[in-house]
Formats: sequence, structure tokens, C-alpha cells
Amino acid sequence: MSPTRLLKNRFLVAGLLVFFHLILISYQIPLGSRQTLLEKILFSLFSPVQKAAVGGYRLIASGWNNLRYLSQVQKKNQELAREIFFLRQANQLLQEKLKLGLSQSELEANLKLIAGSVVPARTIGFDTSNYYRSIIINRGTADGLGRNLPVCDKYGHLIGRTAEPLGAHEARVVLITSEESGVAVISSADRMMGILSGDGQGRCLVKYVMASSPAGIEGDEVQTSGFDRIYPPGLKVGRIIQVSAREGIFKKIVIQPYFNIRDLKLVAVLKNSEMILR
Amino acid sequence: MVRKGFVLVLGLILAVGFYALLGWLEPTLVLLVNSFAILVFFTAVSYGELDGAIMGTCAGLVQDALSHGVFGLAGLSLTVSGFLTGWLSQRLDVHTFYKRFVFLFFMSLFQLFFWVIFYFLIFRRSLLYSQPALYLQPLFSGLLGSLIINLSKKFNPAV
Repeated sequence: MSPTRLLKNRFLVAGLLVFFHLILISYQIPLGSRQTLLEKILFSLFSPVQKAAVGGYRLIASGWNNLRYLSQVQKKNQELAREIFFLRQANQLLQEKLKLGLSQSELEANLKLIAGSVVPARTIGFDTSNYYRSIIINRGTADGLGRNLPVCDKYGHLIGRTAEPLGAHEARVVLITSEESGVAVISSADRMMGILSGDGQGRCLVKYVMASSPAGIEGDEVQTSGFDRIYPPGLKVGRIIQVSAREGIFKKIVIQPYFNIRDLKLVAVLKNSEMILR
Repeated sequence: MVRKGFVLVLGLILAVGFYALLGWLEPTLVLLVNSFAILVFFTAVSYGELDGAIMGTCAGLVQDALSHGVFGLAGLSLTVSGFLTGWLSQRLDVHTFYKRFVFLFFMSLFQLFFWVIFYFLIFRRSLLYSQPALYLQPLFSGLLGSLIINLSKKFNPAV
């Protein structure tokens, strides 16, 4: 059969495409969360399109909002100036309190480290299969980002960590509500320790807490413990909303995360979490 | 051929841009409207089953690259549904808006079903109960796909 005739055989071509996908899936599954070269190339090619598209929409939206709210700009400016004034006061008070424990040079070094470690980023895409699984942000390796960096929302609540593929100016963030996430956490009141993972539906579960243990109080706050050496300790994660010991040898502890999936336009990546962990 | 290729590449870029817009407006919209599937159905109905299958491969792999999952799953479902859409559209009467909408609704349902089945086979987890918005995806895909094909026929009757 000549090559031209082969190509004209549509069923053969379709069959070859299906076979290609089956090979791709079979190759991908043992890799787990690692990406193939083809996926990295496609991500590097098309995530800038996302970034450009979202940038364009924001420009149009802000231009329209500026026209509509021109009259209220001055009022908002005055409110923000007042807010900044009080925030500066609070900052000063907190610094005074910290001075009781740290020397001046240690305090300044810590504050500089924290200020230099936070990289603000914007969300430019959500996972097409389940938006509680991952997002894409507009920062990448060119901004000093790497794998497994903690990411928080604008209020400082943990939302997830950076994961591959990492482009020069875009990166994927696996959310804590994803079933593939794992965060070492500790509760505030009774120091219950466990591994937090998502249920894929917007909530999280704390795993490996024995059913015989008295730990786990409804309404208690859960924070990162730092034992996984990925997330610095003390990052707020969520609140316990349900504790039940009916299923198996471990308790079922359900956490409602603090972050809101609809309020992730602005996020913060903690770049030097290794330094913060020390 | 070159013009067709250019149109298809432009369509892929527009699909990514539309998907970004939906996510920026509201995360649920990303599940309600699958811009990559709409592009594949448009290509299949307008250009035939082979172009539909190839666009299914390209759009599906791009969709997989932008999401966190098994790379190739969406590509497989869109390739098969793209081919079937193109093949069936030439044998059925789908020349009116309503017939096309019903046809694309069922093709989108098939694509979703195919994807959910393979997802279950790989991960042993069902997507049916995680995101209720997924159930409405065939409706919106059928409606938007039919609208876009109608508009393209008005501007370019040769398609």
C-alpha cells in the first residue's frame, strides 16, 4: 500500500492516534507526578498564551472599572491611607514585642529575609478536570521559583505548593484540596499531628490519627507543623469541622480549609522556605 | 492546506485564551464549558473526521499539559470523539441548528463518559460525584459548538 493511500485511510490514522495515546498513558502512569518531555514542552508553549489572555482581560476590566469608579477613587485613596497608618502602628507594636526575644540585628535580618522571600503571583488558570486540584500562576523559574515551594493566599493561609512543570514565567501549584497533596499538620489546642490531604471536593482530611486517640476537637485550628521540611511551621491551614471514629483504625477528621477557591486571584509564593524553616 | 492549518492553530490559541477567561471569571465555568472539546467538534463537523481526530490529539494534549493528571487521557477521549463526530456528521442530517445541537450534545456526553471511564480505570476513583458542574458540560458544549458552527457557516459557507 503506498504512503498516500495509507494516509487516506482515515481509520488507520485514527487507530494510530489512539494507539499513540494508549502508549503515552502507559508511559505516564508509572512516572506518577513527574512530567514527560512532551508535557513540559506543551506547558511552556501554551501557558504564556494563558498569561497573555488573563493579562489582557485584566487590562480591559481595570480600564472599565477606572472609568466607572473615577469619582470614588479619592475616597478610596483616603481610606487606604488611613489603613496603612494603622498597619504601620501595629507593625511597630509587634516589632517592639519581638524585640523582647530577639536582638536588633537578628530581628532586622529576620524581617528582611521574610520580606525578600515572598513572591506575589496571579492565578492564570484552573485545572480543567477538577478546579480543586491545581492552578497555574504567572511566576516561574525566571522569578526564582522551584519545586515544592509553599504558596499562600493573600491572607497568609496555605493553599498548596509549586509543582512541575515549571516554565520560565509560569508554574503549576498543587492545592491542598487535591487528593495527591500531603501536608504535615498539627492542631492548636491538643497538638494532634497528622498528614493532611485533599478529598477533591474542596475539603481536606487529616490522616493517620488513631481511632483510640482522644485528639481532634471540632472547631480547632490546624496549622503546618514543619516536619515535612516543605512547609514552614505555623502556616494556617483550616479548621476541623468533623471528627468520627467509626471507620477503621484511623479517625476520619475533616478540615475546612481557610482559603476560598474563588478568591485566589492574588497568591504569595514563599521562595526561601528552607531559610524560614531554620 | 496551509490556510486550514493556520485556522486550526489559531483555533487552538483561542481555545486556550477562552479557557483562561473562564477560569479568571469563575472556576466553575472551566468545568461547565470545555473550550477544547468545542474546538474539536467544530473542526470535526467543518473539516471531517481525520481533521477532528488530529485536532482532538492536539487539543487534548494541550488540555492535559495545563491540568494536573495523567498526560494523554483527555487527548485519547478527544481523539476518539473527534473522529466519531466527523464521521457521523457526514452520515447524519445535522444541517440545522437544533439537529446539530442535539448531535453535539450526545457526542460531548460520549466524550465525557469515555474520559470518566478511563479516569476510573487508571485511578480507581469516580469523577461522577466530585464535581456536579460536569453533568452540565455536554449541554453547554453542544449549545456553544452549534452556535460557533452556525456563525462560521455564515461567514464562510464553504466550511
